[in-house]
Amino acid sequence: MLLHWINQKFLSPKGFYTTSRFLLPWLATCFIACFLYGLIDGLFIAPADYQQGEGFRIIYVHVPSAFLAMLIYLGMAIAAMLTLVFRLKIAAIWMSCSASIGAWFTFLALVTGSIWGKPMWGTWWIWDARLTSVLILLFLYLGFIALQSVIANPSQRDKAGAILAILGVINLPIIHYSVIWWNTLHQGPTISQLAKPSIAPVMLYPLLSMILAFFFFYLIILFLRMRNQILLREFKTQWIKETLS
Amino acid sequence: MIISLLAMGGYGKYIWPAYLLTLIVFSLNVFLSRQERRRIIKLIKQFNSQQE
Repeated sequence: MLLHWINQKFLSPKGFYTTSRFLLPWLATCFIACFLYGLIDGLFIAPADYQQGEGFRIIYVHVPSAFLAMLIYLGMAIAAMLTLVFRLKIAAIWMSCSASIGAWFTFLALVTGSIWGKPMWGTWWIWDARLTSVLILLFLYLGFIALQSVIANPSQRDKAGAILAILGVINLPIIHYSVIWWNTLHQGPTISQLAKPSIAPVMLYPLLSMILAFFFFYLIILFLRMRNQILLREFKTQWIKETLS
Repeated sequence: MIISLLAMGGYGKYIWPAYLLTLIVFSLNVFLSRQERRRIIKLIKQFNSQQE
């Protein structure tokens, strides 16, 4: 019963197209609320850091971008598994639409990190383990996009993309543990699942709010792109003709 | 007050570009998605009119 409902609402292209239309305004509302709270609190209310002064405020765009860059790739790898094992059309669309958004978030993480690095480390860039592994993540995203753009056959394109997405997932633990395994200039994790956060609650809440805002934004763009891809892949079906008429 | 807000304790020249870039990337993503939708709908309508 539940599986049938999930299949009807989310897993079939038609169901997803309809459900996402209903969800998009709710996601936009959640994004605006979290973004405004995180932005105002992070920029103007949270106190300056005792070491980095006001400069630490870049954390509110840098950490969410970096977190999403990794989360999106993890999502792509899960979608890749679903594509290869269950041949789910919607998973293949999810995987291919996530790549460009993930690349943008990785780019944002690298550039905001570089801007933060200049006043704190005295340099825009250093071949440090964390920075290099995130740069590799950007190349993985770009490689995925390039691979998908050169294969015309949709099923071959999905399969090749899925294999690359699964192979690239090895980079995620390297990024996460790079600051622990190697002596890096990059600081250690601010928020860990097991330990108490090293950041004060007054600075933590806007950070968590911004992470949520970035996640909602990812879902909004993902849904918009997936709806576009569904239109493109299913344009010969009757329901698309009825939807567009 | 506005000047001290923009200066951000001397870090304004780093903080504001980082936030501005984020807003540009976000806006660009929304714009590109909407543009892609318009292009696809136009293509489908052209295809359907050729079929009729």
